[in-house]
Amino acid sequence: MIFTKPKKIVIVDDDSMFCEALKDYITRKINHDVKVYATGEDCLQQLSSETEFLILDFHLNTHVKDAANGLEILQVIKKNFPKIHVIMLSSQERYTLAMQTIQKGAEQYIIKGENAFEEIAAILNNA
Amino acid sequence: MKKIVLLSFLIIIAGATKQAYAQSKKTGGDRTIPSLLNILKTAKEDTTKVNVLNNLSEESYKAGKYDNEMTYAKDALKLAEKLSWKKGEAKALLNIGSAFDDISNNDEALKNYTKAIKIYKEIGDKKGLAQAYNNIGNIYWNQGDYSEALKSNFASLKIRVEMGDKSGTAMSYNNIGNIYESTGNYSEALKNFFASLTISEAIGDKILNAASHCNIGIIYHNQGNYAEALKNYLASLKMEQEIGDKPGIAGSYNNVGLIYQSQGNYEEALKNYLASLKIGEEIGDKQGIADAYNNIGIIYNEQGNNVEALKNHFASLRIKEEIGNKKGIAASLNNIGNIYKEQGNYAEALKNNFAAFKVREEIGDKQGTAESYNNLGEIYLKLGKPSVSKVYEQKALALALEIGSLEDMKSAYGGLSVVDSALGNYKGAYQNYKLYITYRDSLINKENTKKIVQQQMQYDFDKVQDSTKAEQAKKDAIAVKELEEQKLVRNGFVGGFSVMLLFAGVFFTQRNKIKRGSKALQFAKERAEQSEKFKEQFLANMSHEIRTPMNAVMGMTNLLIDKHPRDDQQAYLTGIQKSSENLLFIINDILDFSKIEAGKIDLEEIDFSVNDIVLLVKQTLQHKAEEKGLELIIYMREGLPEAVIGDPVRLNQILMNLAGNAIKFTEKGSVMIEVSIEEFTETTNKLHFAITDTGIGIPKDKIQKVFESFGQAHASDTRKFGGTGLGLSISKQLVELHNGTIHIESKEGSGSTFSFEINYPIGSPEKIIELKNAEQIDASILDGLRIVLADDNAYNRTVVKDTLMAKANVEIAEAINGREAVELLTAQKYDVVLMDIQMPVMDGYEATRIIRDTRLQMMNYQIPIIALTASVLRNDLDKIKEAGMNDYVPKPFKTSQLVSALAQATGRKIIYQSKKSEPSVTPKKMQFSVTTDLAYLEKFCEGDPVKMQKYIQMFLDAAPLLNSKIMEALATEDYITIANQVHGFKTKLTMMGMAESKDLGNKIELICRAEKIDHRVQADIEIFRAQIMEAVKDLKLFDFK
Repeated sequence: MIFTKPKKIVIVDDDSMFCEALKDYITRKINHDVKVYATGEDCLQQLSSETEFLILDFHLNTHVKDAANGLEILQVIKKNFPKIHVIMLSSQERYTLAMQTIQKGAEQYIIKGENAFEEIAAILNNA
Repeated sequence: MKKIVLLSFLIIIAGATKQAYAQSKKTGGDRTIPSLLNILKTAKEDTTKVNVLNNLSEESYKAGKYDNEMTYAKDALKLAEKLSWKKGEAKALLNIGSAFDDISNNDEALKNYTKAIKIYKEIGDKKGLAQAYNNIGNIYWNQGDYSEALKSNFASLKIRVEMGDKSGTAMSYNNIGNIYESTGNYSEALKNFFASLTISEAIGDKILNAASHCNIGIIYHNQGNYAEALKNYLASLKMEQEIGDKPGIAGSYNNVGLIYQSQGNYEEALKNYLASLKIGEEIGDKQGIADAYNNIGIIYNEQGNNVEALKNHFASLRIKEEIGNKKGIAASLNNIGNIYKEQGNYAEALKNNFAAFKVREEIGDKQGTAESYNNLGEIYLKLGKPSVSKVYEQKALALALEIGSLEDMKSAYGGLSVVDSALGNYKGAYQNYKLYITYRDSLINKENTKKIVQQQMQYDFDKVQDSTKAEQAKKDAIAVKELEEQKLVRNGFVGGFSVMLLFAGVFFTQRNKIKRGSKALQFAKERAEQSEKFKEQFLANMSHEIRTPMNAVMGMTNLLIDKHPRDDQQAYLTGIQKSSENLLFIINDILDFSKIEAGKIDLEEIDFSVNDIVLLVKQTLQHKAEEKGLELIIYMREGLPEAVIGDPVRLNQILMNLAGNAIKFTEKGSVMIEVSIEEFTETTNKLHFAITDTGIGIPKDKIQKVFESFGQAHASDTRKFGGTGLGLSISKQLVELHNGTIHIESKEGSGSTFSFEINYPIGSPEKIIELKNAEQIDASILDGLRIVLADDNAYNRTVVKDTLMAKANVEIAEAINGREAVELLTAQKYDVVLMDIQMPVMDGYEATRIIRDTRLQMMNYQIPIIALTASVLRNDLDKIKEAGMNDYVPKPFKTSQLVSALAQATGRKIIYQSKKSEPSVTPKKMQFSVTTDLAYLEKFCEGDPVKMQKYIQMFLDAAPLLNSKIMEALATEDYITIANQVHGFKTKLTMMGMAESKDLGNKIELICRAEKIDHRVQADIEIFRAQIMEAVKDLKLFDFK
């Protein structure tokens, strides 16, 4: 992937390996500024308006059982930082969930499948 | 090379005449030629006279008097110019153009129409302009320049729509429909014809209505939808009868005749053509007469009566010459030439086909010219002049390419291939042959689609025909009456129609002769043969269509069973295995039945033990009997031979059917299979088999019925007992195939005995042992083989590949069709080919023929080729041999069959495994972890060991945590936490290539999130944990430092 300039990116996912792998993948060519959080709550505490992209998983309760899900986090973020581009991740291919996230302000809904990394990189690349 | 060219049995509506009709109405004039001539005598040199001359020209056209048409139009033009009456001048130019059009002088026609357009534009006469465009469009259409034709007709349509000229609009739609029809775009054509029909219905224009119906009928006719075609032709006929349009009626008779011809009902076709001819003669419609003669000639040719055929074609030719219909002349010459060619009279054939060619070239009929080139090429080849032939075939090809005619391209490539081969240019011959095949296949595909539709339509057609027969009789009576009445009305009415009908020329270049004999009988026989062929083809297809996926299902099941499934998985897999075997059994039943019906079963002659077969039957049915609480008794009497020679599969089948049936119809008690020796000589044993049950028995009057196909003694039996109802019928026929007979003794309520005798030659027990060993062939004898595997079905390729590669060290190159296989074999040396038969692009037969073709000198031309075939039809097996293949393996295949065929083909000695040493596992694989596969990780990390180590370490750190969390959650039955934990671990499973664990994780997550927990999930969770821990063990071994 060739990115034109480093971007400020935040990844929120409770799957640590996914975060690491995604970070590796999108910083392979250009050293984007990537921060990783395991829960939405952690992310909200640290998030600044300088962030350009937020990659947000839907299920976030592996570590903290009653952690808020991605959709709830999305709403807070869109309220406080309307300019951040949010890419929602989910392992579920559910149309209604996809519709909801788009309606709530996410720009993309990506299924955590084989091609998820490529798709995310393509979105970042074209932004 | 049978070729049927359908030429223009279409209705062209010439706009010009319509206009004239309207004008003369306005002036109130009488439009018969005599009355017009009367007016002409007294007319002054004014615009009225111009009108009268123009009208006379148009009426002459309708009467087929093209000389007069021209003369009157020229007079009209002269007078109009003198009077400086532009409108009359333009009209006259249109009529002159039309007259040129009639004698196929397209250039002159175009010139005059263009002049007319100029004038109409000057004086702003939109209606005239629309007609001129209309007529120009028809010229282009005649010339085969369809894009120009469309352009002109759309221009005409636009003007007519703007003017609100409804009948003109309908006419344009009609013409546009005709052009689309010519380009083969039937859906667009139909759309336009229906538009024309709708308008004509709205404005009550019966002429247009009849024309639209007729053209719609033609499209359906071309699509092979005879029922709809007939419906529309009849609607057209009805309209024509209502308005007394005799040319129309003649045309419709003609079209109905064509339908019968398409159906192969030549007698009915002839009847209709003769009716058409009669009306044509009555009204002096020369074109119609010529067409009728032409079609009658074709029918006689179909019936093998070439004397009559020639007579009629010559009659048609004479009339066409008289009226100057060049296209028709060419067609007749072509047909005559082809009959001579068929008769081997090449001199006459050459003369006529050359004349046809000259005419076609002159009138710019490119398609016809290409066809003529082809015919000439063929004749010259027959005359032993391949180099001359080549010139013509090349010309044919160039033209065919120019006009994009697939049929002509195919013929040209085919011709060139034969010519090249005659000239010793084998490379060229091969290349042309390949192209020929490509075009042939694409045409065959089209043709097949059409044929299937036709078969479906045949049924509808017969239905419609039946219902219309009665109606038709009534109609005919009315029609006769009406015709009689019309005679009284006035003759001139006929001339008043603005419809010109150009009917059938159906032209053949070559045909199969039909043997003489009672025509009706011949026809019935052909129908029966056709239906038999169709049935057989259907069976072959069925067989292929079902066996191909069955092969994949059964093969992959076996592969999975070899992979050490867990116990629960093993249970499911065994279920699949048994069910697919059952399914195959049923399919084979149906196929067998049809094969026996067609006399296509051959009995094998191999050594086998009757005892083994009976035991096998017992093993197979034991379970079923136990389920019903029945005893299954085997009683082998003394003195039975150890080995006999015969067909064990068929004996098994008979016994399975009879004993299976007995179990099915017995509620309590027992079923006994008894085998005894009835007679013996030194070389043969006559064995007696009896199957006795204590079941429901068969009523006396039903005993014979049970052997009928689909027959079960009680009507409700099928529902109650299931089954195809073919078993007994098949058994009876199989016994009879063994020259035995089958008997039934039965008493209703107390059971039945089915018995039969078969005479078997005595066999050798040693050979049986040998054959048994064959089941355990050591596959490693195939080590080192380089195999080309051609199969279009990816699943089947996987089955073959995995089956072979699991057991032997072979190299397999895959091809998805015959062409790819040929390409592989051109590039490298291989040892053997496994070749599927039915493949797209190039099938197995074709590929084999090319590989074996010595002229091509391929390095692998002698390579052994083994057919993989799902077909079991005798014909197909013969074809496999004919094509040059060495052997075949049926699909679905047993591993031993495939291995032994490969070994035999490559001359490797077969080694049998002792049963004990058969490895239940492939030991090679056990040394490696079955849970992890780092290929994905390596790819992801682009081979960077540091990164790989990082991810592996993450996995190793996270795994124990996951394990303990799951344990905790399990203890408190907190399934949501388990789901969350498993979910959060998924990427790790992906990265470590643990596909199986990932699937299991998905399953666990799904069950754990369900409202009602299925506690069996705990077992899955245990397996999941075990896999994770095993993976940890595996991964700890990796050290990149």
